Amino acid sequence: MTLQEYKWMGKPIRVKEDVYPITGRATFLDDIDIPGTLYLAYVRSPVAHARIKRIDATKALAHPGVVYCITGEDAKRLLSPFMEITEPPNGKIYDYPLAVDKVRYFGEPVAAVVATSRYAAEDAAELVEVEYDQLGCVLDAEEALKPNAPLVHDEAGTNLVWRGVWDLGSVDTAFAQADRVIKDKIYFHRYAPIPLEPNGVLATYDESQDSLTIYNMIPMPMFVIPMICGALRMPPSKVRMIHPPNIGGSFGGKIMSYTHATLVALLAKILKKPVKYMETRTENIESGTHSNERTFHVEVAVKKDGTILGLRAKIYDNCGAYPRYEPAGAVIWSQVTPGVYAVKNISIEFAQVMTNKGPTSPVRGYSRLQHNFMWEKLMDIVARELGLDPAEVRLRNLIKAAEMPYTGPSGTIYDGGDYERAFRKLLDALEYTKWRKLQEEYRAKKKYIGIGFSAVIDSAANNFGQVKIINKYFPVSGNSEAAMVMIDQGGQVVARTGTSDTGQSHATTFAQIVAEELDMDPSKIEFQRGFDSLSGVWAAHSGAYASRSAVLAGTALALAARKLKEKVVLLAANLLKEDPANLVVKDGRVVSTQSGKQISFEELALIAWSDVLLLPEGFEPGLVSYYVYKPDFKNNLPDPKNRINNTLTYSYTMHGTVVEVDVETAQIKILKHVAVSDPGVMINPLVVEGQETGAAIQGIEAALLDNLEYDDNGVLLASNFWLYPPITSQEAPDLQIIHDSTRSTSSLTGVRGVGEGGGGPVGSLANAVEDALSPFGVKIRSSHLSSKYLYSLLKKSGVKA
Amino acid sequence: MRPASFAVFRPLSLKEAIEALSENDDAKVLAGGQSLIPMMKLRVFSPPKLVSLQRVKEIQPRISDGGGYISINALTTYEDIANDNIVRQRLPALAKAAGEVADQQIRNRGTIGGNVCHGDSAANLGVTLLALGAKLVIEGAKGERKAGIDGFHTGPFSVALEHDEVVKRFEVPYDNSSKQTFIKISKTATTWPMASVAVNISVSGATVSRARIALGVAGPTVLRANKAEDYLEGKSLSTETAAKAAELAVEGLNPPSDIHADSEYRAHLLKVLTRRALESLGV
Amino acid sequence: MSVQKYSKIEPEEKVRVSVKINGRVYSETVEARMLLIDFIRDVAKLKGSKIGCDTTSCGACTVIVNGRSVKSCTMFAFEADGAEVLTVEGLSTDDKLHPLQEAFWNNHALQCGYCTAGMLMSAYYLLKKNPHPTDEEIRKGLAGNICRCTGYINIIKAVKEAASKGGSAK
Repeated sequence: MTLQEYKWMGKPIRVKEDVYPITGRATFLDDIDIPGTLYLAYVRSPVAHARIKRIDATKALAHPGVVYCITGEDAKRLLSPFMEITEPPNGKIYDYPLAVDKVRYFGEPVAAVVATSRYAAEDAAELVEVEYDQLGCVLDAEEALKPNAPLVHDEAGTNLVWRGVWDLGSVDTAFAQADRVIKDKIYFHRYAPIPLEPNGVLATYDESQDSLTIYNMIPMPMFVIPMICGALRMPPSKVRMIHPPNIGGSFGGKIMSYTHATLVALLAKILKKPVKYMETRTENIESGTHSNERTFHVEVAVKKDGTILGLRAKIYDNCGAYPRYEPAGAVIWSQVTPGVYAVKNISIEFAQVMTNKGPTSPVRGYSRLQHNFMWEKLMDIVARELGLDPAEVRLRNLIKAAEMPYTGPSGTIYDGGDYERAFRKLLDALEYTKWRKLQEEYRAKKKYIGIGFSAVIDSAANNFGQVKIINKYFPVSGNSEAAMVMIDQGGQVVARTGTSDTGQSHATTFAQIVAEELDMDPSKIEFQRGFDSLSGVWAAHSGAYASRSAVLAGTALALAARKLKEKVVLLAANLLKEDPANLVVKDGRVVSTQSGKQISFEELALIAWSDVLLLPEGFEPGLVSYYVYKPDFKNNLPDPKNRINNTLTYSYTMHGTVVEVDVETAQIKILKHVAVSDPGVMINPLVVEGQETGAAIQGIEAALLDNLEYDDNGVLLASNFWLYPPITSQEAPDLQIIHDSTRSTSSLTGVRGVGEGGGGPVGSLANAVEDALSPFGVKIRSSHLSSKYLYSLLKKSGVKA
Repeated sequence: MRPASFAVFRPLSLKEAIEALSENDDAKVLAGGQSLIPMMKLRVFSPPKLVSLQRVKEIQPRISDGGGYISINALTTYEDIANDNIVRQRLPALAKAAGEVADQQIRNRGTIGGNVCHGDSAANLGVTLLALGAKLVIEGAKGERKAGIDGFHTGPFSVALEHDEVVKRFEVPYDNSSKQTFIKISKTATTWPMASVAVNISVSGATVSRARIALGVAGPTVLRANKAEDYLEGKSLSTETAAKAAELAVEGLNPPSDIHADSEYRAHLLKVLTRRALESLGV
Repeated sequence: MSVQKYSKIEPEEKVRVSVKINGRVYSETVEARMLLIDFIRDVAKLKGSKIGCDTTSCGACTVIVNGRSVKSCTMFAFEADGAEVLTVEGLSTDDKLHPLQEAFWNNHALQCGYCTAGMLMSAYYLLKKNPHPTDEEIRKGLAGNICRCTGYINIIKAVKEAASKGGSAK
């Protein structure tokens, strides 16, 4: 991988926009102060499933400072229900920003009060009286499909949102040829992304134009326009979606929060005043969307030497009480159908199921995280059953570099990479042999260490055509992103795109892409921050999700910059009376390699923008270029077997963890963690490594600390940071990230989308702990390794303490 | 997220504070606020009146050696205690316990008085002071009195204090023959311990002359492991006696269950921690 | 009828609170229940410090009060009456960045930036107390500040770099 050809890309330059939070000058949503703003507080359900008998807001309305109270009945009257992806009957779901008729999950908003101060709003919310008639609840996906299970949505007549079947390759033949068939059950737990900034919305209504401005943090701002506008019964032209310049993280959790945006906008319209809602942390954990909870019943056909011939899996996904983005997750895992392995015979039956738990949303690694965990757990299950080294089993099954680009069994095209080389680098950097030896020695001393791997592949830049597998009439497919690059009246290069930055350092990295095209210092490029639909530089697919920004916005920006460069050269050639072939654009000027004559961007700008009569025939005034990029996925739409290339690029990471397990206290200590990743061409290594590190630590946290545990009545027990503790600097291990980059064969610049990471450490930790405890026969089949869970496993296997 | 309304008294002297408390049955004491304010923000507890001890002159942070005991004023913070040379030298278990409370910011505000009087069985200082046999100097409407830490904790979040009484200071005995330590297991730095143990033994020659073992998160209050203490007296510390003492420490124990650990796992952790604490003191 | 010898505030009555923040005094009559973080953000209009949780866990609201780092969400404004407070806005002097700020910038010790204000103030206190901390001491010193994006590694690097450049002196 050579980066010499790049001058500005690949440089770990300081992130320019970091200076704003550092000096306290960043503007996040709650920092926006509009005089006259009213504050919203929710009344939320303390039960998981119940009929709403009565809501009495009299006391609340009498409280000083309270201006309004709205309930589900009002919402039903004033709004249309949000649109669903699935068609009826399963999609016959009435989804409003407030519970209507029933509450369907613990913490569901039932009513909202609006007051002149946050304090008064919270006071008033406590005074709203709600009477519930409790109903039985269902919390497990498989239970929810049984005949007499309580229905989450009565109108749908079922808790099944959608069921999909994939029969790829020759599965029966593969199983017939197997030396062994191994069966097992694997579970991926439910957790919450908990960005440090909870969600929020601020809406203002302009009576003179009957238009709304919604300040929000939704990372797919225009994708949710049909939901918001459909509910409000207002046209998109009257709804401005705008992000503050800074958003404090999302990790996918804020994607489906159009419910808050719709309600706050409605209230702003009714009250004709700005209305603001800031989520509390408890609200964020309870209902600020969760990551998917999934059970895999697997059967794998193997040869004695560890070669995997085929896989059968029955998968149940628990998406909580409102599908919203689901059942998209029921097909998204197919972006990484075989993981990094050359398995072509795969049969999957996937059921997306509603229960009385909180609604899920596309959280970091959405649907691939769970799928990768299944594969990585399987590799170790196979290794253990056959008495083989888990590293050897992986090496035996990895897709070979020579086969790249690799068309997988479900139609995906893996865009290059050398999995074996990366994995061997991992074994080396982890000092695998040394730890295996130590493991032997330590066991004799009753000290238990283990080594675990997780080779994950994560997709980036998705193809919405995959939704047509679920609903062939759903009018979304492909992906697109818009970009603008211009030289403004002052001669400055200004760029803008439709992504939303929740901490990905877009302004600096995108400036580097534009700088590469125009051969100039990126710090001189002004990148406009903060999504704004009023600016017109966006596509309906705009936003930051599915690790798409570097690939899609990056490409759009590069192509817009090239278009601009052409215009600049054309104009300069005309003014300098030179052959365009002799002209070079560099450092903000155009220079002739022949005569040495040159003209600066400032001079060009003056003529292009104002002194327009000096422009050549046919040259439109201004120096602006737009480009809307639409990638070609090759297998663009699903075939009858549900095969499709549903993502453009991939990044892969080989994780290795060494742990020590204290079998007396069931505490896990990470002794070493190494990740070898291929992020493709890196725009800015500082940024890439930062996100990879963050993703890895989040994976470690999800594995060891965070589980959204509900009690039998559907009450969420882990509802604040005492009970759902984020990892602190004290528990977070030091870890090493090594890059083994290859160019993506699918993207213009060779960039691979990065940032989600596929949750590698979740797998490597589960495998390492099982490895450590193998003398006791302890089996880990769950992604969450709380100490209490580990203790119960140790007790069951009779480990003496 | 934001507390309900309340009226606040800001007395400058102990007399004023006691007066405010005795005239207002519904007033609650506010010391460092690191336990009380979070509960008020979650609205699980909304006292209509607070008596802020912040400016009460008699109980401002102060640590001194009284000869045989260390005197610590009630408003002394965890940070003060953890960093004080006298405490580190004479009462190392207390310095350790204070230094391991939550995080730096909470240690900068939270007080020893607040920690003990809040009556949380998970409180680091509550556990350690029980093992150290501390005395409390208390003042109320009826005047001053002294109380031992034993029996001070009466139930979950409840202590043996009259409504109009304020703990002024702690007198924590030390002796040269004492070996002591405090250990805990928490999921993360800033979550409450899953289990904690403080051990304070006096040795004479090779044998234990007196043992005080205190268990945190072991029951409705911090508890002494009396059976284990009795067993150790007269014995020398070895892996065997440490293990036996640990078993006795959790006999009949019914620790609370919560999301982090159930009762049985807690009891098991307490046993392991007790044994390890004893082993660390010189097996 | 005894003369009132102590200061008493009724809930309807507000408390007159005067706080010196970054060298400037802000005085306002506020509710007794007003949290210090709200005073800083809504009265003094200094938006740099943030709110990230409701259980005193995350530290996004960390400021320095009378020389000590505190979580300003777990202090009432009246408790800071007469106090001197330093927030992130007061870290740089005359447009020159504090060594900690410089080091955070150089080491990309932030991504979304929401934890940064609180993290800087905790690091500021840490270096004042311990000018040359080890990695372990830094990790312990910052345990009251949650970061969701970086995984802490770059933050540790930044604090060490600032320490080596005399970051405790200011």
